[in-house]
Amino acid sequence: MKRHHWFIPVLIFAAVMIGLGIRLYLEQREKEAVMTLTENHYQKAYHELTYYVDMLEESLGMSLAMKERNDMRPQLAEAWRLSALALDEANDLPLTLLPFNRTNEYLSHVGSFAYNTGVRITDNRPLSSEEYRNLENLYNESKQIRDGLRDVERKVMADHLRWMDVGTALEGQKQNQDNQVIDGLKRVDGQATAYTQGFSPENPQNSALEKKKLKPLSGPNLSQNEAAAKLKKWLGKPDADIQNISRTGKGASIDAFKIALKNGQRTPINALVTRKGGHIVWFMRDRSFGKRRLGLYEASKRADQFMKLRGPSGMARIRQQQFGTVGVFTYTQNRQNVRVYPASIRLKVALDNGEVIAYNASDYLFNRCDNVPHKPKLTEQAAKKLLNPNLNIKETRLAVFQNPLRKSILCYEVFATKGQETYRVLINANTGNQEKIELLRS
Amino acid sequence: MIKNVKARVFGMLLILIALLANDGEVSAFSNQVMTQGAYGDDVIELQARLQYIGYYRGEIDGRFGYGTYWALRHFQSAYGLKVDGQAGNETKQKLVRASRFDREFVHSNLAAGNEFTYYGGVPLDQQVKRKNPNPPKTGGNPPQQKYDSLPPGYSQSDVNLMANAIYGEARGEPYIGQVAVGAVILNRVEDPRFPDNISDVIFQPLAFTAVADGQIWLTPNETAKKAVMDAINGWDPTNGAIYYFNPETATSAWIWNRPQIGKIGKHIFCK
Repeated sequence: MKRHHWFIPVLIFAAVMIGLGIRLYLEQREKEAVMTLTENHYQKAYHELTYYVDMLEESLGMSLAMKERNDMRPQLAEAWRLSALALDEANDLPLTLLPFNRTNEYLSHVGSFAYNTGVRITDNRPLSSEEYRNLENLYNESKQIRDGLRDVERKVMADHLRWMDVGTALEGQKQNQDNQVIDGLKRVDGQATAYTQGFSPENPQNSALEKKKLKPLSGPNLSQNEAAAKLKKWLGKPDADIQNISRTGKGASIDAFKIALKNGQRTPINALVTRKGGHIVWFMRDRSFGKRRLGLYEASKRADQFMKLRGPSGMARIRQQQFGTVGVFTYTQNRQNVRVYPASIRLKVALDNGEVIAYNASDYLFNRCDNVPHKPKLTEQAAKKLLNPNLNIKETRLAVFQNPLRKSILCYEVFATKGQETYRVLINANTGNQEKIELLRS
Repeated sequence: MIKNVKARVFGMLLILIALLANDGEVSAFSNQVMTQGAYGDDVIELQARLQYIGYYRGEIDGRFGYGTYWALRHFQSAYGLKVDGQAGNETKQKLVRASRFDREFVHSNLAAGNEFTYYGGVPLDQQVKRKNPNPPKTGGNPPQQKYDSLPPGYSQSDVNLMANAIYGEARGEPYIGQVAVGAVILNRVEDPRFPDNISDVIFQPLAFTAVADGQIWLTPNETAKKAVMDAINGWDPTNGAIYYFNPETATSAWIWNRPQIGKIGKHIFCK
């Protein structure tokens, strides 16, 4: 009897341990399966990236040997396609935290070059010497990048390195440890070239401050307190308290003060005021909304009033849209009846009491493109003739538009309909090229 | 003779009733002037009435877009009104006289999500083109949802995804810090070194911690949604940042070497 008592607990203990062991084993296997899946995904992305860059190098090399643009066109279209595919794979790798920028930038550069020289230009004039030089440079760079990528690939294969470890190395403290993949990729990455991407008129440009050649601002340099005083005066709130004020850091493309104003019990106003000249770049207040009392039309009158009082002169309201309990209004500079789209300002009006709760003049301040001539070479009639005859033209005017290469161009802006759809077509007022066509949804 | 008088009185009464009924319809529109960019019940009525007399052939969705704008201008020029594409008092009155509006028919079809038209002279039962196979349950989503407006160039799923990302990443931050996270996402979309659409930027491996640890799938609140709209409409409190990190939890040495722009809430924003 006594022996039995001693025996049973041991048996139960053993059974529990075996059960636990099996469970841990299964869990481990499951975890490994998930990790293998992720690892395979990364591996695939990397191998495809190197493959596409290989093909790209070949395609660029072949176009170099051709004379006529029409012969080159298929190769350039191929390069355009391959660069998009390669970029997609590069973005699938856990590299956001790694300065892998050079390769991505290069790929996007190739893409837009191939598109602009091979796809967009329809005539058959040979490449200009500048275009040809660009193509040569891109080709030489593609060789370097390909070799670098192949080098890393070889190491990964030979030493059975895992991309998962790159992730952990980047995320964790092991930053200074040797990681051959990271080192290899750092070598692929060279110095970044300045390269800029597309932008559509009217659509806000968030990185406006970073990418544009900033228009120099006028006025003397202000101190923190002078800037805050200027903001208070501009807002018509002389009694507001300064809650917080700081200068932008060295990463910012403009030297400015970030100011938070507090007015009694109300929620604070945040604003950015430039150091030079004290121009108000933007302000915004977050608050809760009461019941909607104003329509968009009444709100637009409030916005107009605000612009008349505080905004620059010569601005016209070109667009308004209601989002719940706020209306957003876009103004653009109107110079001799030419709309200058890159120079725009946005206002946000609360529809409960008509207060202007946000203002954004960054595009206007840094993007005014004063140097675009307003005399078109092409007549309006001639421009209209260039349109598809199935379009029903509703409105035509002159406008300055910024193309993907960030050149400001004088265009005829034509609003036209076909069936239920409304189109906006921008025709270069000097060359007659169609710069952009948009399908307007709202 | 007496009969004749009776008939006349009766006739006048009828006219009076008709006029009164018509007046009742005028007050159906609220007092607001409608302009492009607006949405709501008034716009539904405007579209339905314009469709009734054949000026508007698009979908009756309560959004005052280009289709409604051209239709209204066309109507204004045909009826000798000032052609401004805005529905003010005079325009609304003329429109009400010229057309009819069956509120019940239009709103019930809108609420059910059916595809329908509202042309004058066509029996109503022939105008429901396609019934919604899964009509929303009554008391569920308010019909307002249907015609909520979107900024040009963005889809509802872009907006939802961004709201999720902002809520997952920065729900404890001040409002301006939430707009800032939205702005960083959009700055990355713009930047050639990053993917060129919102979902690819958000789901890029290791780009956002909220994606890595699944917090992105929490249900976002109204503040996060408001922050998305401000970011999309161009407000960028970060002034061009493409990275940010929380200095208390950031472990990567690399991120500290990025040129910093400034701090909002707990996050440091940098290039």
